[in-house]
Amino acid sequence: MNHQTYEKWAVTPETRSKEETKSFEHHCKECESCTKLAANWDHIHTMLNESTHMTTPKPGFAARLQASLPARKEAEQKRQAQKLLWILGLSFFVVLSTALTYFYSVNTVNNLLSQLFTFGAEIMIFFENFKIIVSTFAKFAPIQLMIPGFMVAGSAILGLLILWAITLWQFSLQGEPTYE
Amino acid sequence: MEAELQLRLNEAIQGNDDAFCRLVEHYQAGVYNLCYRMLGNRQEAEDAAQEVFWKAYKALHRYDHERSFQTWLLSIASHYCIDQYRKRKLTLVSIDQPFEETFQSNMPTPEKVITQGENATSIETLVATLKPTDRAAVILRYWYEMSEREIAESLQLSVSAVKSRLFRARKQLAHNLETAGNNSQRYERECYEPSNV
Repeated sequence: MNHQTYEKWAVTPETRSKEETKSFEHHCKECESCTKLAANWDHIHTMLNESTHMTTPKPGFAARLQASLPARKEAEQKRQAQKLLWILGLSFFVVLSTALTYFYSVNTVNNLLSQLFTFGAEIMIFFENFKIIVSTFAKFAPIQLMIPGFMVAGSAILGLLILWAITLWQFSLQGEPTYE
Repeated sequence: MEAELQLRLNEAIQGNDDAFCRLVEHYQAGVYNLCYRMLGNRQEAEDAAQEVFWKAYKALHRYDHERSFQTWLLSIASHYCIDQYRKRKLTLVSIDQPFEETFQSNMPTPEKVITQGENATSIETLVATLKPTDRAAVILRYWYEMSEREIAESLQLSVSAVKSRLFRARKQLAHNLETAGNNSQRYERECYEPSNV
């Protein structure tokens, strides 16, 4: 039998069978280190059994935790919101970088610049055409239709802007409500 | 009692903070004691126990009803304390000092422990010399009388790993007791030698 088995028996006397105990005792007559190990473990085991009392916290532990819960929840929600914003920001960065890398890999810089100017010019032409369409429509449309039209469009844009601002404000203040 | 705790647990899972606090009152001693045995300091144990209950509060919806609630809490506490202990070790390492020297100087060795007088041979100081996971296994085994299977569940280890850690820890405790005893005798001899008196 190898020495490690005897060492194991020295620190786990409760698991030894009668034969194993005999064998261990026989081994101890020749092995000083196993004798010491068994004696020391016996001492430790007694100390463990004597000192296993429970240490309790100061009174009011649960009340202290309950009092800290609102602040903890708020901090957690903020942390969640920040995490979400970081993820969104990083995702945007990754998508943008991938798109730019792709454009650079399939186009030369000159080509990209010319496309950029062409795109800008097309937008300007589109707005010029849009202006013409709107002014032509305004010339022929009756004033009774124009005023409500502007009011509806204006209110819709204003409403969307207010909603966007409130959402951003609430989101940055409270974060995403979750228990995770 | 068990039925009442189960009711409180269900209420807590549904978001009732008062029910959760009743659970805290019931389990606080067990969690606090584990944190204290692991960290060895009352204030740190208080902070750690509060943090453990907060972690449990956040993860209540993930609690598996097949497991004992206490074992689940102690599992969170063990992992939290092991992390805290490791973090504490890292923050104690100064960049101006060689790593090994600093690390060793902060370790509670039996030699260092013995110079602190009679308390040196107390079981708390001997247990403090163990590695954090081994220490957690010993505490769960002897203070909470958990079986090897329960310790394995709590520490997310295999049963054989727990057995091997417990064996290593027992051997180290016995060895440290001997080292502490030898140093104590040497210390006493040095103090009471005629030339020193």
